[in-house]
Amino acid sequence: MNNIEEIQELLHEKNHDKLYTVLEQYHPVDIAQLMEELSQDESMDLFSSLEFDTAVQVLGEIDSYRKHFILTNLEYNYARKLIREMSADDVADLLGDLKDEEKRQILSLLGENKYDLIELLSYARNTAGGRMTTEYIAFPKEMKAKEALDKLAELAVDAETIYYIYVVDSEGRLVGVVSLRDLILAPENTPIEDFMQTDVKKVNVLQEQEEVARLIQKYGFLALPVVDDDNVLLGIVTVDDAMTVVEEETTEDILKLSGSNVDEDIDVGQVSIWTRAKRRLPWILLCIFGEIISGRVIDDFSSALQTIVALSFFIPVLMDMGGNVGTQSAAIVVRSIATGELKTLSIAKNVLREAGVGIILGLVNGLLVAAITYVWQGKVLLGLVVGIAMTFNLTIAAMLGTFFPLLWYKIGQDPAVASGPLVTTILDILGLLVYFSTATWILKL
Amino acid sequence: VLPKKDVLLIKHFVLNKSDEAQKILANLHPADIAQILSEIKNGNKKLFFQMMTSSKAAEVLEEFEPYDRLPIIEEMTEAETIKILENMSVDEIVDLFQQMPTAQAESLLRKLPKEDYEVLRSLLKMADDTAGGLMTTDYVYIYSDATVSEAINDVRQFGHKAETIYYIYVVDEKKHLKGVLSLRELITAPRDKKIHEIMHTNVVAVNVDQDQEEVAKIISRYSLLAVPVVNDSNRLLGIVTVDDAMEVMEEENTEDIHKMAGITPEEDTAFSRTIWGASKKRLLWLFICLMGDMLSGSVIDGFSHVLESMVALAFFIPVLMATGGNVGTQSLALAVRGIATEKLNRKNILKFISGETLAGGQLGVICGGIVALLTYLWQRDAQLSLAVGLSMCISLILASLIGILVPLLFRLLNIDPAVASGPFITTIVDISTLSVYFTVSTYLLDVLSSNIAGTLKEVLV
Repeated sequence: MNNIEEIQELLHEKNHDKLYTVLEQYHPVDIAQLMEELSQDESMDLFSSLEFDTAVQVLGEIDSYRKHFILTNLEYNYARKLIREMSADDVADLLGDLKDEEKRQILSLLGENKYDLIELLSYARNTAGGRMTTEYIAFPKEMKAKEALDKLAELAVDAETIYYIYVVDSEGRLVGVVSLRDLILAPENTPIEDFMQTDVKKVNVLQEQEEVARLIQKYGFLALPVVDDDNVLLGIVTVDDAMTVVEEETTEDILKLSGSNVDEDIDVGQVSIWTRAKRRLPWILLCIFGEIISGRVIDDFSSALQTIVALSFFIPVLMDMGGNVGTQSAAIVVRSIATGELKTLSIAKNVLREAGVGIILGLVNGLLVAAITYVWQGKVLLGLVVGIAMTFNLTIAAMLGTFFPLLWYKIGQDPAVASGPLVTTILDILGLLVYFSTATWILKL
Repeated sequence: VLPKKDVLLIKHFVLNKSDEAQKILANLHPADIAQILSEIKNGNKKLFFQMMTSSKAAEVLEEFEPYDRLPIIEEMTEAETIKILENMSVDEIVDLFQQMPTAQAESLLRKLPKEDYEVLRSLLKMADDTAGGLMTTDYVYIYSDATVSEAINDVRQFGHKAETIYYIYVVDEKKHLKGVLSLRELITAPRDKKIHEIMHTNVVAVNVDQDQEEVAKIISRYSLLAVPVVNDSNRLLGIVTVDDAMEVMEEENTEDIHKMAGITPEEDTAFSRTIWGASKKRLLWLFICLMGDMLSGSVIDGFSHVLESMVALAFFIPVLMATGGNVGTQSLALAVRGIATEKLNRKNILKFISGETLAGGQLGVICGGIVALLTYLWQRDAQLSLAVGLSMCISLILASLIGILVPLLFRLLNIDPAVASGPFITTIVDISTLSVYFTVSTYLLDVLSSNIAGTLKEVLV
């Protein structure tokens, strides 16, 4: 994007007319991205030259840190007007990200509107409640189609989506749903309950966000209603939020697989170096202690090693290949649990199947490494030892890589949790043990 | 989601061809029926389809992955198949035909209504993983000089077959895309206004050749329910809907996670489900790593004199290699994911690199300290423990740099950053870790001889 230089120039020249015409061509999402690449003051300037309607949309897209900066540095009344136009779930997300002092500043801008938010704020962020918005449309089941359409036209401006209309009884309990499509196509005088869908897919307010996103995806919905234990409609989660959740959860899985403890998203800005190091440390430490045990294994066989130093040349390849296959298996099983593709959750069946894969990988790589060893060192028996150890290693690796994520899942933990480092560490100990035992046995050391 | 006993009951009704079955199936969501079907033996699946209306049957069939649709179709007569196909949306038919032998697809294609035949013909030519391969041609369009009430009538009339009626696309006589309107805006607008007065002219659209991952990103980024697909002269060809975009996203995410673990992405086919097929996808990177690891071995070989004079050095090879590999993979995961979600941009990239490197330094100091202590407690050798600690510290800093810089470099060279897999990084990191370890120990343990320095040179060259 060369546009950023152009914008910066216009900002410095204070050429607001030209800036206005340039920005008019931009989608609010793109303006938000521009702002993230500008300095704070520049982005403030840019924001002040936006039209009110565009400003509201742009505000919805920028990160919480900048949102707070802009809202607290704008003229007070303008900021108040802006924040009241923001959707409730966006404001709740913003508040969730801020420190206490910053939170108070935003709450004071909200004035009496803040009481509507308190309920939204009480739900954990990664649940259906934390993701939902309260700006949905619900009509009583007795309402006629024509009346509903007219009412809808009135309410449409504020609602997050008008494409699903939820139907409730006098107690506010969810009894049905109609799509705008059904409503438009229905005869004018029929009451909604005559053509509504009664088999409504919904989620409990405490449901995990991952599950919510999966349901939206599974059924191809544009939004999913959120209810409490008494089936009272509380809000909706829309498909664009579900897409965000899917991305976040994937990030989390990838980071956890590699042994980082991350509860939120990748944050390039405000995280301190110590926090960055800290979230990676626990599994690394575990691995250090485990690998010291691997060292002890080598120690036990140090006389063998002294006789044939060449044995040590193959420690890296055996350790690494085991780790690689273990990581591959863990990635496959974690991902198939996440997408719901796993045919059976039985640990035994999956581990056995992976053992098959592991044997094939082990034999192919075992043969290859044995050949290379022979060519390099010119010793048939050494080649045999390395080949056998490799075959065994990779078979066990595939099994362990499948076993741990499934075990975590069975006992109610996140299957992605540090399966990589854990599997690798256990494998290294086992692999070296097998390697040196085979060596002492075959080479008669 | 369905309770187990309901599933059993439904199976029982259908397999016994009870009258109840039709009613129950009519009220179930297609995704739920598909789930029940996946547990039904081949050969019995057709019973379900015979008890549904053709439009419901089409929706259920669409729930299956394209390659899973084939065995179901095999069970049905051609006439039954055609009836279902007539009710499926064109993009789904295309996906199905691409899985079939050409002759079978051709013969089915000829029996479909003429207008579908033409559309399908042209769609089948598009690449599978582009906007063109993903789009459907069932959408609602209007002309810019129509009035709002005429437009609403059009939606009522043509809306039944359209994939979405929530966006209405505005075109000229030659079908050039001129604007877009949401149904929300349409129904809240005064009935006598002209469409061109209220439409948005700044339309987010994608080119027919655009990569599907890009298309999904655009839909997600702008929070759209659908995005129009145009050709180079801006003619409207079709739309891609948000549910298809979510599926693409899932596929791409799976691909990313697999690539990170060194698994070659491959179209998911019946083949990849066999054990040999599953193994094949993983072999390529394993071979590459195996070769790299032999290099690590030759580093040790280069220092075998040092090792011979002090076997205890070998005891710390595992801990150094494994920790370096882990730190490298962690950094890699952060970088790959940062690139994929576009969290990393020009402005913050340097900050990110320096931040993660400093974090790597901090990890290096902590882990180096701990491992030095452990070494001392175990071997009671201050020099050795200093060598191990210092090597750990340096190699962790290098590991985090390699983990971050390699994917960024790939990105710069326009190679998919996820190709820099964990195993690949681990292999590079191992070579660097072992070189650091033996160089540091050689100096510290005072066993440096000209002989070894010569070997070091050889290894590095």
